[in-house]
Amino acid sequence: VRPFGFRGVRATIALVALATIALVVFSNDRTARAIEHSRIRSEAVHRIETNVAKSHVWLEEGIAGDETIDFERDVLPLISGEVGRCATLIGGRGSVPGLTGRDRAAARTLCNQLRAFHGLTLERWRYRSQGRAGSPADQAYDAAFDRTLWLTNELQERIRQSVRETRTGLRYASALIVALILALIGAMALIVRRRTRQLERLAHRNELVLSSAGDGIYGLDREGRAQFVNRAAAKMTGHEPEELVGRRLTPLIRDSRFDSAYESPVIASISERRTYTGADVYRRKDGITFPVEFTSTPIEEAGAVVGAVVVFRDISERLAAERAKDDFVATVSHELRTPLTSIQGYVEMLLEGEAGELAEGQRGFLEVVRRNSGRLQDLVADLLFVAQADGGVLTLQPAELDLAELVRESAASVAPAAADKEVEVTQSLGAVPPIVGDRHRLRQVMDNLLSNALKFTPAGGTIDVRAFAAGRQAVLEVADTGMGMSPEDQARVYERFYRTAEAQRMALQGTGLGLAIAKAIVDAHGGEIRVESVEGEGTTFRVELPLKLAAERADTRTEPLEVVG
Amino acid sequence: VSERETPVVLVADDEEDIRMLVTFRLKRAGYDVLEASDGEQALRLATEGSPDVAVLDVMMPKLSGFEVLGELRSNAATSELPVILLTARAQPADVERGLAAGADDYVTKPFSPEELRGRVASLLERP
Repeated sequence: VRPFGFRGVRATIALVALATIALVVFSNDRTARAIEHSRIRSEAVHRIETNVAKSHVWLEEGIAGDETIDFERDVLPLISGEVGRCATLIGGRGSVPGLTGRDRAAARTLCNQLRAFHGLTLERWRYRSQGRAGSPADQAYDAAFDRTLWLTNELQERIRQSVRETRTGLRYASALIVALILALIGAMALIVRRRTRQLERLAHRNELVLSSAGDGIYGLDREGRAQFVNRAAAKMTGHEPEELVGRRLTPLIRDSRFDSAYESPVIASISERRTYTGADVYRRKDGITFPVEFTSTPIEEAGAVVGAVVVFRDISERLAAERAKDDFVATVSHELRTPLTSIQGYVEMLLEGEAGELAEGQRGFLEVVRRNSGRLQDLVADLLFVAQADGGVLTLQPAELDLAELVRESAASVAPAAADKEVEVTQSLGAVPPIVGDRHRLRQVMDNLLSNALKFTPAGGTIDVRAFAAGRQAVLEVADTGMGMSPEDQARVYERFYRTAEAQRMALQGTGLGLAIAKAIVDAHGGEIRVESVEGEGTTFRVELPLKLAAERADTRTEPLEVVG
Repeated sequence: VSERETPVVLVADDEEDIRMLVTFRLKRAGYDVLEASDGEQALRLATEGSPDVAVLDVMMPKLSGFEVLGELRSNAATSELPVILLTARAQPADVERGLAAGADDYVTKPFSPEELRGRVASLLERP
C-alpha cells in the first residue's frame, strides 16, 4: 500500500527548505547592503550641506573684511568640491551604485542647484563692494543658499525614506519566510498524520489477518523469543498470547520427547535464510501433545535476517483420515484377495488333476474361471493403487535402473499375446544413461502402455517401442499403427475409468485405469506423459523422465539410435 | 534340517479354505502338515510339534503372523525355524517389515499353491 511516494515528499520538503534558506540569506544580504549604501549616501549629502553652510559663513566673513579669508582658496573650492560629490551620488562610486528613479531626479536637481549656487556665490563676491544687504546679487544669493539647503534636506529625507522602505521589505520577506516555514511544518504534519493513519490501518488489517487465520502463526527473533503469537497459535497450544510473547517459544510449546534437534529448522531458516517445511509434535499447556506441520520463513530487514515466522497446523485429523484410509485399503485388500486365493488355488488344483482327470469341456470352463479370476486380481491391484495414489501415499522405491532393459523385458512379456494377434513389436533402443526410479512401478507404466497399444492395434499392425535420451530427459515411446483417438479422447484419456468411444463400441476389455495409473507413476517420478494420435493412423505415448544422475555426470550427449528388433 | 523321513510343515491360517488348499497341496508333495487356525495355536504347535518349516498368515486372530514370528525368533528352540509369511498386503513397507522381523520368505495373496510348495521345498533344501 503506497498511495504516494515518500521519497517525492522528502525531496519536495528539502527543496522548499533550501529555497527558504536561500531566500533568508539573499534578502538579508541585499538589505544589509542597501542600508549601508544609504548610510554612505546620507553622509555624502550631510557633507554637502555642511560645506555649503561653511562656504556661506566664510563668504559673509570675507565680505565683512576678514583678511584671513581668501575667497579663491577657501570659499569656491568648498562648493565646486560638493558639485563633484553630488555627481558621484548620481553616477555611483566604488561599490556604491548610482541612484535610480525619483531619488536620481532629486539628486540631479540638487547638483544643478549646486552649480547655480557656485555661480551666484562668485557673483556675490564680485559685487561685494556694493555689498549692502538688499542688493539684487545679495537677494539672488540668499535665495539660492536657502534652496540649496532645502534640496539637501529633501534628498536626505528621500534617502531615509528608502532605508525605511528597505526595512519594510525585509519585514515582508521575514513574514513570507515564517509563513513558508509554517506551511512546511503544516504539510509535514499532514503527511505524518496521513501516513500514521495508513500504518494504523495496515497494522489493524495485519492484526485481523493474523487473528482470523486458522493456522497458528508466531514470529521469533534471532534468539528464538516470540515477537508475536496469533490467536490460533495461542488457542492450539492452550496458552494466552500474553503468556508467550517475549519468551523462548520452542521449549514451551513443543514436545521435547519427539526430537531434540527440532529447533534447528527454525534456527537454520534464520542462519541460512531458507524456508523450511516439516512435521513436528507440539505440546499444549495441559500436557496433551498433537502432531503439526510447520513452515518456517526467515524475516529479512534491510538485508539482514532478524528472525523467522513459523506457520503451523494441527494435522491430527488429517493423520487420522490417512490412517482410516490405510486401514480401509488393507481391509479391502485382505477381504478381496483371500477369496481370490481360494478360487485361483482350487482351480489350479483341479486343472492339475489333483481331484481326478478332467474331461476336455470341464478343462475349458475352468480355464475361463482362471482367466477371469486373474482379471479380478488385476482389477483389485489397480483399484488399490488408485486409492493409495489418491491419498498421496504413492511411495516409490527408487534405485538406479536401466530403462532399455526394462523396455526389453516388458516387450518380451507382451510378445506371446502380440504373436497371437499377429501384431509385430519392434524395439528402437538408444543409449540411455541409468536413471533413478522405481523399477516395479516403471515396469507397470511400460506394461500398461504396451497392453493398451496391443488392444487397439488390429492384426498386421506394428508397435514400435523406443527408449532414448534427449537433453536432460530419458524418453520412452510406444507408437502403434492402431485405430487412433479423437482429440476429445486424447484430452480425457488419463481420467480414471474413462474409456474411449471406440473401446466401448468394440467391447474391449479394460477398466479405464491403466493410463491413470501410468500417469500417477510418471508424475511421482517428476516426469511427464504425452499422447499424439491421428484417428485411423495410430497413437504414440511418450514418457519423459528426468535424467537426475546423468545431469550430475558430464556425458549427457545423445547417442544415435540403434535399431534392435 | 530334520532326522525324520518326512519333513513337517506348520500351516497357520484362519481361513479354512486356504488352509485346506495349502495342506492338500503339501501333503500331495509328501510332507506332514500341522494345521493351526489362529496365532496362539500356531505358536503352540511350532514349539510342541517341532516343524521343519512354518507358513504363517499375517492376519490371524489372537496373535498376528508378525507376533508369532517375533515369539519364535525370541525362543531358542525355534529361533532358527524357517518361516514363510502369507499376506494379502503387498505394500513394499509390509514386505520390509516382514523380512526385518526375521521371515525367510514372503508370499502375497493370491498365490498359486504350486508356487508356495516350491518356496517350502527350497527352504527345506537350504543347508
